[in-house]
Amino acid sequence: MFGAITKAYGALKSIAVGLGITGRAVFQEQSTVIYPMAEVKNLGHYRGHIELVGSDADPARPRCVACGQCMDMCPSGCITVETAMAPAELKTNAFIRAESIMGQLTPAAHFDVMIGEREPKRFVLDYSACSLCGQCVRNCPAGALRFSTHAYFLSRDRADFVLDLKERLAGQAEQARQAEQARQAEQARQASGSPQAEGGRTHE
Amino acid sequence: MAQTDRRLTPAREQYAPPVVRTDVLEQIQDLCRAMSLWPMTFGLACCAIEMMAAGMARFDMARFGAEVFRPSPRQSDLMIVAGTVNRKMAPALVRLYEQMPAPKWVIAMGNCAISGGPFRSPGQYNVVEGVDKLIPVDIYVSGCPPRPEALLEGLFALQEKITGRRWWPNPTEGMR
Amino acid sequence: MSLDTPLLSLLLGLAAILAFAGANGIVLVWVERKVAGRCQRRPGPLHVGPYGLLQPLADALKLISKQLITPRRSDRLLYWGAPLLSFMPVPICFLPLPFLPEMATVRLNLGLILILSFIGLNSISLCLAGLGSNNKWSLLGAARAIAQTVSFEIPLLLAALTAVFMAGSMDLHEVMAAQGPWPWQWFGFMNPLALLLFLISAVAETNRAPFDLPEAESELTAGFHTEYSGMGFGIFFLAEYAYILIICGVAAALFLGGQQGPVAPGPWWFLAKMYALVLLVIQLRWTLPRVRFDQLLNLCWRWMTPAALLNILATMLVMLALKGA
Repeated sequence: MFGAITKAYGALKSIAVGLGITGRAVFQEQSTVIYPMAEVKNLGHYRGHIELVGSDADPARPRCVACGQCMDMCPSGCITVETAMAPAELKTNAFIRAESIMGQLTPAAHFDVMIGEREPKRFVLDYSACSLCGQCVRNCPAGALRFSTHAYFLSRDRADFVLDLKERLAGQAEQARQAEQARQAEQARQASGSPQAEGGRTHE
Repeated sequence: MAQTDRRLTPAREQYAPPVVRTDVLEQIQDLCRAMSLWPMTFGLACCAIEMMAAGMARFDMARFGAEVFRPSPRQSDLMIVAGTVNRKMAPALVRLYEQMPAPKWVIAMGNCAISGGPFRSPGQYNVVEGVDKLIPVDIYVSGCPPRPEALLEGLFALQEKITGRRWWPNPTEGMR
Repeated sequence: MSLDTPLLSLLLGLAAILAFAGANGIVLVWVERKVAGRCQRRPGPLHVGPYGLLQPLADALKLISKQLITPRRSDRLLYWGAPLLSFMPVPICFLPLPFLPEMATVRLNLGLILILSFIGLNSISLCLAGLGSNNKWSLLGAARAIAQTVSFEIPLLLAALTAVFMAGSMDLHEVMAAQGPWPWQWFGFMNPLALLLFLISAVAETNRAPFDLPEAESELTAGFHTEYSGMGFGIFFLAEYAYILIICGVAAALFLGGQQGPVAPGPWWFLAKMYALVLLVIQLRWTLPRVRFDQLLNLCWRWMTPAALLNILATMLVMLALKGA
């Protein structure tokens, strides 16, 4: 009898404790990010699909040397690089060594590529097959690939997920150029103090 | 949809025409449908974890009325195919889709659901290469897995598809 | 035609009750989802209308416009009769509830019995839904619903009887009048065990979590309403909220003094107490995990029924002693 009462008391007490916890939560600060109006702060850490890195001289031209390491390394075969000879003026006599970090997959563990000899004609990524393993980025000898922060990638058509990364790079470079122009125009306007200069940001 | 596969049976369309149909009524109903998309509790693989994350406190799909994860397909409007669809799972998926009452929508979430993802390879025998071989897909949300915000964006895109306009501000406008 | 015509007043009363039950269902859906959100430190419905207030409206209109599916080889009569039967007793149950001052409501000397007996019809409707659906989950849900409601009706009735003994009447107005305006004069304060037993059995009677075994998602898909789409499901939902309201109203009248209050007694006290209890029930749902079925029945037969019997006996003895003194 006494045991039963203690047990019932314990059960009721635990219910009260639970109600206390949820009751307190009602008045606590909410942990929600009101998404379309605000975004999480660490979105820069997001590693979305890969993209090409522009070369230092011309941001619209990829650093890629078209060695094909990424194609070989990709476990799901989602990268297709079509190569072409680069314009003669880009040609250097420097070599870089393409080394396979996942050595056991490729019997030839390393080979040398001449910088500026070849360039990608098209660099196609079928993102819908990618699992973001990062082998391409890790194995790129020229450092020509990186993860984008393109977190919201959706479409009504699955063909949209086949991306031409060279076009994307050109678009990004154009956007950066326009942003830079706009920034300079803004600066000039602020320096001269005249309000007539046009400084609208252009969205693509 | 490269070649038809005899072993995969796509869903049959079952469409009941509405009893009353006028344009204004249709618009109001579309708005209500878009604002109360009840998803089905249906997770196949790792993307389902992000789907759960989208329903939890940090992102909270409840703000758009989409947190009512119904256990029964009869009461749900939206099927979020979150994960790899196996051939073994395909008949169950098709049956669940057919059991949903019209109007119904599908979001293919994650690369596996879009095209088989990393499991897509010539000669593979057990993964359905894209859930659109089985059921009509409205929105594809890519990623491996997509972020919860991407799923929310998918929800907005679906609302846009239903009502014809986007209802919420778009933080991704300049982004590509 | 004056308002005194019985038919007209009946129709008006029915319309008012149905409107109240419908509006109440819609508001409670919103409250429930908001409370669920706040308990988990998220806002809940927010963007559809101000504070998400239009959310339940959108849900209701959507449910109305959904396709209605009747499963093949189901019993059409039972299948579509069940949701109607689950909602039909609602107006009758609202009649004896002391919402308004005495003269404005129907006064019945057996009001409590009327409410409790018609609430029992709900379990029959769940049973019909399960039987008619031709679905094993529905059938299992229906079996559970019957076992659960039949079991928990006993402590519910015994706890209610305790209050009836203390007041000496089954008329809810008289039970209210037998209690004083201050909290220590309420039966729930004088006899807290009865209030506790009543509340626990009320949660079980209305199939709410932690006792929502007839619709346990993880075990039975959606239990007895697995096959219901659109408004069939919506009516079950509406009826569930109406029953919660009714049983919380009975608890408020029996144990919390009803319209009695320290200042300005009146219907608002009744409404405030009723909705406070409803909020408690909603918060319980979002606090406690679901119990197992054997735990549920053990709780009823091994704990609550004996406790309710002992409680009613003790109450009688105390009442006799007080009368003798």
